[in-house]
Amino acid sequence: MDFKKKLDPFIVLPLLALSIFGLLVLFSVVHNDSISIFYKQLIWFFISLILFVGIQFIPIKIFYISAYLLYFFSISLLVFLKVVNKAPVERWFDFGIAYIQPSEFAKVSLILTLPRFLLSRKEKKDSFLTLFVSYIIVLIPFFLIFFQPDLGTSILFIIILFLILYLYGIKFINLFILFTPILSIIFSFFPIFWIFYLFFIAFVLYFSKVDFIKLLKVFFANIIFGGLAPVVWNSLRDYQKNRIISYLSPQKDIHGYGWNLLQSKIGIGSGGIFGKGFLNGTQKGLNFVPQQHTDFIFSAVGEEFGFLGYLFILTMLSIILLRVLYNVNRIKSKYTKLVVYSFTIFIIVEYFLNISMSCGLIPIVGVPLPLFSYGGSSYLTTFIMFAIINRGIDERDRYW
Amino acid sequence: MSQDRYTNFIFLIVLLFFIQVIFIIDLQFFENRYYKTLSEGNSYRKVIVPAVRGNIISSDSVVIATSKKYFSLFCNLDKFDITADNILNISKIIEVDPDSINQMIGDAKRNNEKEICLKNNLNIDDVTFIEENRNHFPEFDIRYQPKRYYPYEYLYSHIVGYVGKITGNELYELKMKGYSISDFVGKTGVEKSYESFLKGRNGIKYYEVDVTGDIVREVEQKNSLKKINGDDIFLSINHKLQSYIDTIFKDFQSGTAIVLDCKSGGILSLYSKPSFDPNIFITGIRNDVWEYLRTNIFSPFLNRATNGLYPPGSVFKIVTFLTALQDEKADSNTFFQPCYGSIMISNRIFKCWKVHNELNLFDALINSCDIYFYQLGMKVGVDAIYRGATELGFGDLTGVDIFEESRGIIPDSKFLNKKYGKNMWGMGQIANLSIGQGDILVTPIQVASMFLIIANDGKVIRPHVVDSVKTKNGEKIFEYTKKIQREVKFEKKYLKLLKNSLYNVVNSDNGTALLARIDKNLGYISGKTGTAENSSGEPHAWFGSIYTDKDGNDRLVIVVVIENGGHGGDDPAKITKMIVEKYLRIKNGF
Repeated sequence: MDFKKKLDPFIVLPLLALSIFGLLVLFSVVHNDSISIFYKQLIWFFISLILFVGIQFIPIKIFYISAYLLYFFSISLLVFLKVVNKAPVERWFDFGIAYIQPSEFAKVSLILTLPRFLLSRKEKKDSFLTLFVSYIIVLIPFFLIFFQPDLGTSILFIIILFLILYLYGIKFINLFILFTPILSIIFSFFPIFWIFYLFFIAFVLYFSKVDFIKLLKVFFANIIFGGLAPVVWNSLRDYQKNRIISYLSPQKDIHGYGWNLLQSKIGIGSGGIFGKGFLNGTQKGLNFVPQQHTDFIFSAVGEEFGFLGYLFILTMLSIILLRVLYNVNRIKSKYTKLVVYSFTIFIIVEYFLNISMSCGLIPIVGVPLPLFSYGGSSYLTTFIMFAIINRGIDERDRYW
Repeated sequence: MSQDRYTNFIFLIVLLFFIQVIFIIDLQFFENRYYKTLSEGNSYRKVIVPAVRGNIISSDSVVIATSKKYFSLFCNLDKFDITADNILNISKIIEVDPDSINQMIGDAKRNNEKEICLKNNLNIDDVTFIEENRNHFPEFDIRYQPKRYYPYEYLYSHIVGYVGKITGNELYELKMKGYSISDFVGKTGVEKSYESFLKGRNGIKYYEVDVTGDIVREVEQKNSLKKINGDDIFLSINHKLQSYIDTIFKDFQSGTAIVLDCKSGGILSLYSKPSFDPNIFITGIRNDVWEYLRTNIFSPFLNRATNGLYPPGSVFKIVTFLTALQDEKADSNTFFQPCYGSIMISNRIFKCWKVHNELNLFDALINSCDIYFYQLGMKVGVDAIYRGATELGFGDLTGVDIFEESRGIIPDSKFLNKKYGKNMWGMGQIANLSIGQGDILVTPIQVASMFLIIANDGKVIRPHVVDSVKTKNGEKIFEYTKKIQREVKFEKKYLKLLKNSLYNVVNSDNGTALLARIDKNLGYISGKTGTAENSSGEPHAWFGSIYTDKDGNDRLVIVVVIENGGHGGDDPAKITKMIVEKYLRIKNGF
């Protein structure tokens, strides 16, 4: 078999382009004071390339079979992390030479697991049990990560849940019902709004001809979530609260997360259309954006490469998305289809969230910019997802 | 499996990215300039290096205004979130009135300034506190900078004046000359009139700063500018004399004394009591102190020498005397109704301070007989007196180079018509005017200027306080050169006659200023007393005089006013004598 044929150029070339662009930007950010970060990332790049090639030889069916196992394994890692680590923020396993972030692998395993579970319940896909178990599957890693604490990644899990349920074809009304408790959490901080909101739910459900028992269940769920939210809020770490609060008034706390956002915006805004040029950014060299090599790396893209740099990222993502969209309908296996598409959308959503947060469009949640942000686990998982996308498209004719 | 949901999802993604693209376009296209300046401000900081203000030095080489280094607290407005809460916080930390911070921010914004100076005299505790909590105050910058300092506090505040923070309006005017919002400008006195010499030019430096705002290194930019320090100003003031007069005035509530050099018109001493400490305008003035000074009934901010308006009283008889002679309305043989202590004019009784009986013109001046001068004035006429007074400089500025000066009021018939109505005034007003009472107001410097004219035989010389200006390298860039402004129209012989009479005021046994008599070996003093009735209580006591040395050269003009001091022949005459004696001691090296 010709290996070259297995690689889809419309997937692999944009992937390589983004990786190299990402490495260049990272080099620019760290070359002055901590170049070792760049070398580490370069090593991760090569490891990822090898892994990418390796995965091309693994049929998707293997992932399907081992999905639950992978899920169980990643949950165990998260629990293990919880038990082992005593540090206030327990996101990583310290292996001496590198940190491993189990939550990154949990994302992949979740996207592999949830479709498998849903497909196994083909006949009763809109049943309460299906939705409930889906919820549980997601909420276990969600809470483990939420209390690490890592707000950004845990939010990604909720996004994965709705993304996959939607793509799988759950009825809108059920998605709505699933979504209401989350809104309840938000509204519970404004008790009057929350009461109005409960009336609104009842109103919608009544006209959707949902039966009375279900209506009661939804109501009950909403009250539980809404009632617990303030309790959970009080258990949040100060820095998490700050992140949320700082979104509401980023100018206020100039040294906390608001400072990061302001400096990030200065970086992006001062870049203009063409940017200041490679290595010419002034925001990073002087350490104005403390997390610029991780969550705020987009500010360096915006500053040095300007709007064109942003357009380049968008173009690469569009090529990938269009290529996947073009091929996904030809994939015979429903599982592969769902997984490939979910991975694609998920990566794009990560890009969207990170860039949006860098420019102040959404609250600052710690979502990395795939292939740009420093961090081996994130780099590796992004490549794994791309590898599975490529493999899935490659074996589109295989039916199992 | 719902296939269209895959495609539908694209619309959601496109929509989301569409919003994001708009957001980024807004940042990078429309707000690009704003963020560009922010990013430059981030890594480079423009610092204005204030020029050191020139010193002000007395003629006996005593520095009476200099610069002292203070810790000043600057606030970068780009990094400062301007909310009421934050301003209140800062005002609590550095103990500055929040309203004045608001005012400063407003002025800075109107003038497009990035930085304001919140406080000029940070104490060491505040400096330590802010430096230790550097992370919490990225907008702050503490600089150790020279600011104006007046070592003699209140002693020279009416000559030198004071500097104060530049106001928004002043900055608008002075911006072209390189002034910045944290600068000080001369508000009164020499500080104001010689501002352009004293100021120098501010320098501009650029520094590269790190994330905490600490300076990494200085960088040269095309807008960098070297500062030029201000020029030194040398005054004609004699410090020893000025401090001596201060000790004399210890016994008096309020008053003024002016000592002029007859030859040059240079002011050797200009004293006005009460006074204030001009340092308060640099170190920040507490509201209650300011209110106290502002509303004090003795008006410490009033420069009595140049701005104090007083009726001249009998000192004005000199004008009536000279005008009568010049207009040939009187000579040594002119007699009027003798002085019996009072006289009836326009159905009103006008009094004299003593019964003088019959006197001629000269004796009337020596004895300061009001009855004689009432009648003389009525003979001369109000407009003639007006002419005589303006000829001697009354009703006009003397041109002294201390910024503030009042013109005073000399009434003529037009003035009286306006005030009382046509034909509603009469001989009473003229009689009053001829002895320096009624509608007349003069400043002590005008009286001093008059005596200067008399001493110089009719030549008008501008009294001045600044002798020369030198750059910091010692290069003289300005020097006062004596210039005769004009000559008065009074004939020399009349001035001689006047001087003779003034000599007798002090030195003849029936003169009114016997207390001013000095030892014959030292020369002599000739002058005129004044006891100016006024509405504020006891009359103001005047004594204007000329000191002539033993060789017959006129040396000094001395004018002393004691507010509510009673008779001019008492304290002012005594003070004049003391001043002359001190002057001679100083001259002889004591």
